[in-house]
Amino acid sequence: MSGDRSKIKDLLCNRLTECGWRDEVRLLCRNILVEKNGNNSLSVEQLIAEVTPKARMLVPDAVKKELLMKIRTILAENEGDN
Amino acid sequence: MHVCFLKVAKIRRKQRKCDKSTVPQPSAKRTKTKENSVDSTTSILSSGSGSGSSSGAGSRASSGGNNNTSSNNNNSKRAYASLGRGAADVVPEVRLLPTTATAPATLTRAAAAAAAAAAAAATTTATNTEAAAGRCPAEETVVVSGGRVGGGVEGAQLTKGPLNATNLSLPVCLRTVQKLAAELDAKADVNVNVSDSSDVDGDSDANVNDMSETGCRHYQSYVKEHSYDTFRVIDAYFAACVNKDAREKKAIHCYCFECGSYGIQLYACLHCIYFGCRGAHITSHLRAKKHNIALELSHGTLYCYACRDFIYDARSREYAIINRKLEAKDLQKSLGWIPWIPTPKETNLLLANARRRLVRPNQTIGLRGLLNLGATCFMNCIVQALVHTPLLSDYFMSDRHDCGKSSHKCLVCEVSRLFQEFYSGSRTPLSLHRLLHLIWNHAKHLAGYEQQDAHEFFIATLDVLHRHCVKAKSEHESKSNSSSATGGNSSSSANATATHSYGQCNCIIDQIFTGMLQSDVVCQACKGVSTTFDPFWDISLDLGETTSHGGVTPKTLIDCLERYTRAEHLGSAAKIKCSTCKSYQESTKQFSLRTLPSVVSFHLKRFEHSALIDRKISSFIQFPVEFDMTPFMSEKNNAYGDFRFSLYAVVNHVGTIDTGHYTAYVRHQKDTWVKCDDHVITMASLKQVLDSEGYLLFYHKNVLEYE
Repeated sequence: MSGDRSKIKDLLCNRLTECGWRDEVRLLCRNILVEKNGNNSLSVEQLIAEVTPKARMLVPDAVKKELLMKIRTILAENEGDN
Repeated sequence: MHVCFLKVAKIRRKQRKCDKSTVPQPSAKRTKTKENSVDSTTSILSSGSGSGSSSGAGSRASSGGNNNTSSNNNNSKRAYASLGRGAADVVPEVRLLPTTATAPATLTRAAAAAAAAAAAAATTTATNTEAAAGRCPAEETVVVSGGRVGGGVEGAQLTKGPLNATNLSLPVCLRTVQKLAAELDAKADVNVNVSDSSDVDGDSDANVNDMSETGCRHYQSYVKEHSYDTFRVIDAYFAACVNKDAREKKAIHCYCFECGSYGIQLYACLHCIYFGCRGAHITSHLRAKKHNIALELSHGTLYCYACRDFIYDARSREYAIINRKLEAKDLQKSLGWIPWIPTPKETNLLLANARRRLVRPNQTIGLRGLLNLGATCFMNCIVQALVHTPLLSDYFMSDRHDCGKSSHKCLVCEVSRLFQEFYSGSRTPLSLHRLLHLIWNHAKHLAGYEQQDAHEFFIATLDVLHRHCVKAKSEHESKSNSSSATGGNSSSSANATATHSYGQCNCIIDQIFTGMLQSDVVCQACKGVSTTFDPFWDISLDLGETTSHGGVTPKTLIDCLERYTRAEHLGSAAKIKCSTCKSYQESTKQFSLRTLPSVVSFHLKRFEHSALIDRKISSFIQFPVEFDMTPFMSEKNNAYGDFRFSLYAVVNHVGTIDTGHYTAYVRHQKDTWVKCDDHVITMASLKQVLDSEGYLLFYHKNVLEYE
């Protein structure tokens, strides 16, 4: 109930914006749309299916590691409390 | 295609106000924090932070159509980015032009939605561990989904299993949310700065008038039947979690009713109480019950099953923003990324200034010749170097300097204006008389009509800029705090910090140019070390023959730096009292670099002034384009970070010690060098640059760390 989860999510979102990931994924989506959306038939689901694996690969390792460390720290703290 | 436009800078001011709280300054750098020291080899570029603020704000406001945009400074920064993230082309937000066709609009939206979805996917990868820690064994759950939540008291639905009935009483929750929102509103009104709340109003007006963001017809009929209340409560409790109670409810009840998972992305049906995973689980529910509208909970976007698409509704967004603000306030976290929606005022400004600028490689925008006002080439070359400093141009192009009324006396304002002039696209040479006059007024030793030393001018300019930054900031603070009692305190403390050490100041000049020099004095008797730290703006390097090492003259920049950081015997004439053995002893002194600034400037001491003779040392000193400074750091073995630098400007002096001329080579774009000789600007090759004599060398850090 401490809100750690949403704080971590917040941190992640900020990091992803900072490192340009958000822009990259936007561009990726845009390119896919330009490429395949010939008669406006590409659905959101198709787009997500196409983008997700690529977007996941684009997340910088440093961001992942930072998040992992953060989560570990929080879990350790919580364990200490209980 | 890159579009850059400068007029927008002014318009962006408002946007930045909200950005400030969320996006870190683009010059995030050098401070080493524990959480960041995860991996020293893969440090993160904060070039993205530039695109988060400057390009983000800039490119979104682009001329409609399909232009992929990127602001110019962003582009130039990328030249320095060793990791070279490929997002140079940023998707423009097309909605501000009423003439825009619907097709590109949906295109962008869909892109945004998919990006959001992917972001959610990433969230889960990272937070899996946490989810696992708190996960209860999934039990089968039976859902009674017949009852409506709309308006009635019968909001409570039963779920069997270890998680108990979700006693989500809509009216109660709605009251809570409304109360919180009212409190937030009241607070905003009390504040002198009401821009936040008025922004929201302005935005929504813009939405209604210009963009008719009213969702789809299914959502409209849904709202007609159920009002916005359900959306408001579900969003406040399960998407944004406005208070502890909401977080508790979400933690206990919010899981997929189909598979029990806490899911990558959960959707909440807005017709009944039902949560389901993205994909089959929620869609099968919506199909079976003939419900249309669902709320995606990771980002709070509305989904219409009938349209098979995410939908956007202005009033819902308004409520959602209030909820996000409440959540941010409750958890003391940032507001997150909110797309920029121009207010009517901003839209009008954009329409009134329809001129947009296209920036391609091989374009001259950003280059201006500078008139020689009579032996002012020392100033011209420094200005060229400063204008081509990527971090500095990011700062000024995003219009971050906020000065009070004293703008005609403020050097920072003048430099800000210069940047606008440089990027205005005009090709006529500029006259820097105002800048010169300001420097004369604030650095008296440079006043007068004779030729000055470029290095001295550089340091004096940094000093005046730094002082004016601090002044503008303290004025700003005292203004905004004038109503509260702490106003006087904070401004005086700002002054105090400014006077006592410029190394601790966080003005843009110190953020970019200030490094820390460590000097270790080792007592030869007891080997005790006493260490002192001094801030520096540049590193001055001796070129003459060394006295102690057999008269070797340095031939490269590396030689010079090795000499600079070599242990130096202070000799018997300069005995220093050792703090450990309490006696005057001979000692050695050694410099090393404790922290490096983002821009390291080297000053080659070509002008030698001694009692006997004043002379210029014109020996050739080889300097590299790419330069790793790690060997000169104080803690080279366990130093965290990346100390690779790239050359971006070289100031040269031709002539003798008494008379001569200054020119500058600057890197205009990646791999494009130009020579600035007062009002004449010519293309130059890298070889020319490296073969030049070199008086001041400017290096820019390749990888910027988080603060």
